[in-house]
Amino acid sequence: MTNRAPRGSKAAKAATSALHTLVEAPEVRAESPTRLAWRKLRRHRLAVSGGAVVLSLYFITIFAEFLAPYSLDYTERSKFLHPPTRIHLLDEDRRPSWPFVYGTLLVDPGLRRYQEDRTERYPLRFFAAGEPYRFAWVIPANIRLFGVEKPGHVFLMGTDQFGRDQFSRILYGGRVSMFIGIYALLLTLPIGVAYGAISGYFGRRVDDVMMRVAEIVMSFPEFYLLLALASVLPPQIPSSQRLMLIILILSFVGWGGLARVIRGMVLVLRELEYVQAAQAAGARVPYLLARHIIPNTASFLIVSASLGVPGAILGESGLSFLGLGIQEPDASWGKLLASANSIQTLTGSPWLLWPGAFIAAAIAGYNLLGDGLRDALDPRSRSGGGFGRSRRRRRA
Amino acid sequence: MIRYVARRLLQLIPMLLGITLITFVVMQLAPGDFLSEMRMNPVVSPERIEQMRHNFGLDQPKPVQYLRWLGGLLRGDFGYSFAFQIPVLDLIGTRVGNTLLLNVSAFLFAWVIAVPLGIYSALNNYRFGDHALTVGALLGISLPTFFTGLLGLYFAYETKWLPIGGMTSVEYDFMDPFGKMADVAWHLVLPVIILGLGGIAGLMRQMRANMLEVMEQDYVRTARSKGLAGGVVIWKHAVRNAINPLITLFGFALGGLLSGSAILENIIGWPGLGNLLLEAVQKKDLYVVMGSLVIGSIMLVTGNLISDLLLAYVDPRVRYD
Amino acid sequence: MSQQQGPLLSVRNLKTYFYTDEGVVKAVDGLTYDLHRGETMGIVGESGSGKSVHALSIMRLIPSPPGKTVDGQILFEGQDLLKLPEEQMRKVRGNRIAMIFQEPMTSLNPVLTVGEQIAEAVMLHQKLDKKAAWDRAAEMLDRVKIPSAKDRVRDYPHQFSGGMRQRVMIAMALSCNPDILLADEPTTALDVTIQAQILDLMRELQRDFGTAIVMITHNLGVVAETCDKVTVMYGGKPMEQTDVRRTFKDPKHPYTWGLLRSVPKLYEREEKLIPIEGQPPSLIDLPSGCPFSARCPFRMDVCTSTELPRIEMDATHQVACFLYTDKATEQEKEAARQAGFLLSTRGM
Ligand SMILES: Nc1ncnc2c1ncn2[C@@H]1O[C@H](COP(=O)(O)OP(=O)(O)O)[C@@H](O)[C@H]1O
Ligand SMILES: [Mg+2]
Repeated sequence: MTNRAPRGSKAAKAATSALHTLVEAPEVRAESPTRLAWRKLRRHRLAVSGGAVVLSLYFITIFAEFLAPYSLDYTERSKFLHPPTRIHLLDEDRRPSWPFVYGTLLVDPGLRRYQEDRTERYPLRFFAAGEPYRFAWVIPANIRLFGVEKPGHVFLMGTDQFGRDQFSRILYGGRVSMFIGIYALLLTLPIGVAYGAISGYFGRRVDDVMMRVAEIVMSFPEFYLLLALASVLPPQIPSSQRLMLIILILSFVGWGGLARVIRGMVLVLRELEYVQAAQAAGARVPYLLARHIIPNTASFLIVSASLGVPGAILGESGLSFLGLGIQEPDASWGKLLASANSIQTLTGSPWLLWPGAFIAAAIAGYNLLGDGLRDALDPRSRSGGGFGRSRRRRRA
Repeated sequence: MIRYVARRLLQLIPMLLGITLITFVVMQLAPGDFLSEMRMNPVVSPERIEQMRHNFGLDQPKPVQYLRWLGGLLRGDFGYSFAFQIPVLDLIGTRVGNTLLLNVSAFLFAWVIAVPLGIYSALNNYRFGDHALTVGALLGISLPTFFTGLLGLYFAYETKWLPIGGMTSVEYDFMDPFGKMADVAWHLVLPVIILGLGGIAGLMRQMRANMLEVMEQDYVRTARSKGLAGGVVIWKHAVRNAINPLITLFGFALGGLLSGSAILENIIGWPGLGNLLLEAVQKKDLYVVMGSLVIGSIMLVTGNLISDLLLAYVDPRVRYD
Repeated sequence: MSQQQGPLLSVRNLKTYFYTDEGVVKAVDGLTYDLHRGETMGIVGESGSGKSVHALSIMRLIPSPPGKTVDGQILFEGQDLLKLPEEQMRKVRGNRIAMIFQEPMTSLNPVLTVGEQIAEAVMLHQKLDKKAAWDRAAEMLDRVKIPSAKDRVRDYPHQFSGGMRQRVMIAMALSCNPDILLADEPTTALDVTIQAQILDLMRELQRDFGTAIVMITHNLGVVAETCDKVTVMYGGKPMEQTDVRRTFKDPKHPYTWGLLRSVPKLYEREEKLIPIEGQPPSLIDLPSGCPFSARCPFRMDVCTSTELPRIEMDATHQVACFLYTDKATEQEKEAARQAGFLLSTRGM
């Protein structure tokens, strides 16, 4: 908050007044905009914590095979709807001990009540061999972060109605949820930017028609359109194809708003002198757009990207939740949460709500990050946003 | 004003055409149709299927199917539900009412809570209350309705304070009119809170931002310089200016609500349009899907129109003619 | 009336600082002046010299945080406004001391009619009922020469042009017949012809209402036309204070000289402006001494090291400059005298 900015703008306005001739253009101590934004972002505590959440979610999903005690489709039919396994740190005599779990017995199949069997005791083992998997798709491996010897079992977040370990499935399923947002964005951004830039650059009739079309797409309630589109997916296609189609659908629903904002920005930008000069010098349109106009929308794009990913995550989760997205035996957080969508299962096995917490964490992380980015990249915000600013103020 | 409304309504026509066309094309992308499932059913004879095919017009070329359906639309005929065997309009009619009831209540609920919170947050800028509300709002925005919906149901079940889903109790049909209203209202509480929650967060943030901006405006300083008390400055001079931009959000918010309520209706068992659409999508009940999409879009577009008119009503600078 | 003898408003050693991330901005740092009933005092200085902040300090409308008036007195009829409880202060604002702002386009509330905005102050301070207050609003609009004022009370600000809006602001400020009007660059944002009209109007109204005016401006032409006396401000400090004639004819402070030299002479063929070299200092963490020293052609060593003195040339002429202390050598004094002489012979 210096006294430079207001003075500069006043000076322009009152060029006629004599005193202002005293004032030369103030020297600006330049800090590159990127560095400034980065500094502001780092001072934004909420954004930093959001970014940390997002990064850790990517981390755990990328290393799911190692972190999860079981594989995606490991099924223990006798342990269906099993509550989270208790990890004991004290033995029967209340003495501290190496963490261990007890075996469990199904005592009431109707109410799905399990009881610990104190005679069976399995110590937790770290970095032990578990079910085999392929690390990074190729290297065969079987070391897992933790687990217990069979026939013991450790279900950190309980099991689903087939007896699959929910914690492991959340880690694997997170891959779909966390990456689908990014993939969808990789499609939405170019479509939205190109569409908006072309519409805004050519203006007039082209703009009219293109914007009408965009408005039509935007005038559907988003999720209604998503539902209708998802219903079109044939049920029997392989899941990788299905995933791609879902991504396609998500981006089809999402590009309209982006295109409209970009168009507005381009409308302003193309009137700028240097753009006009380039045009007069005979620059070709695609070059003009790519070189002079689109880079100017960068900070907006960064922000809308970080706020667009959670939208796509939400869309996929919603579809999968309703059974229109990912299909068994594959998992995504929305699909996993779907097992809680019946009042009997929900009330009997509330641990099935866990995937919802992961969805919420991912979206919250991205929202916090995006919010901070917006503050940091907004030239109007004078100092760091979030909590950083207040602390410094109050101290003063 | 009337001319403006007329012009806006006229502009709706190409838009609705686009909406119906997209809807139709999308549904044609689907492999198979409603009858393909019946074909799997050995009880239904192939002749019977051919007959239904003809009755539903599925043997016609696609453009003809579309034009026939569109022509019907103009006469208020949305086609026929394969699955329910009744006209789509009859099916949709009651559902639209239920969806509107849910969404409008949630919207009002969100406003009543969000606006004062936003004002409070702005006036206590960067103090503890503001931080708490800001974090709360950002987390609130991040909770998907299908998660909060399930949490809400679990909560209702555990506490027995609220009905577990549905729109009416079992004994609804035997109640007097007031009892019926109270019953529906009672069932509304949970979904309205859940649906409103997401809206509150967004609205509150917006209100806070608007209010912060308005409080720095010159006219607020002018109001202070007249010796007006703080309350008058805030409520008469600042809040009115800060609320106006929210009104343009009305249409936007409605879109979000409709989307959110589609899943919530399914979870809670609310007999609304979103729930119907989902059923129809699963059964490939073509005309019901199209009808719901079209009606949903009309609701959204109307919402936008209403918000534009409202803005003209509250902001003297905005005039349409 | 015992108050008649003393000044109406007496600002004593006013200090208003802003505590920002970059440091402490001493926007007003030791301002002192007296204003008598019916008098017009000009406050001139470049942008950022603390003129607006001083006016807002008097109104006690400094945004806090980050701003705070940390020292000094603002004696209004002998009563220190800085000590008044907020509730009492509200009875002063708009009623006894009114203010108009630089930006007529944004200073009026866009969603309220101008009548409402004038009447609300009248209702509050004059205890008039609604009807009477609106009549008063219409009357005031008429006084500031807004055509068909009776109908226009029901109009919204966006239906007025910039000059007309400034008239509305003036009507609003004078509606409760204040003793003092703080006019913060009332004409800066307006076209030259409109500027002249507004200044005429203010002069006329001052005659009728007997209001004392603090005319904040960076335009020496406005000062020459409207003011009885002048305070030249720089870096939050008063540089030179005297009556309007001596400001132009016998200025003593090098900064005042700089200001005068930079005024275009209408009658000279070449409109050559001689700017003061350098830029106004950033007011953050200023060193002690004279804020102008960095740009002053007569700078001496003492200027940056010693507390700036306030020299009484005589009872009505104060200068804050080391040239008039015994810190300056005869040689330096002589150079300054000649510079001042040169300037005065150039004639305004
Ligand atoms: N709200 C504020 N926060 C920080 N600094 C401020 C604020 N308002 C004014 N200032 C600083 O106070 C100084 C004086 O400003 P001002 O009184 O507006 O100058 P002017 O003489 O042009 O009216 C400037 O340096 C300005 O940057
Ligand atoms: Mg100013």
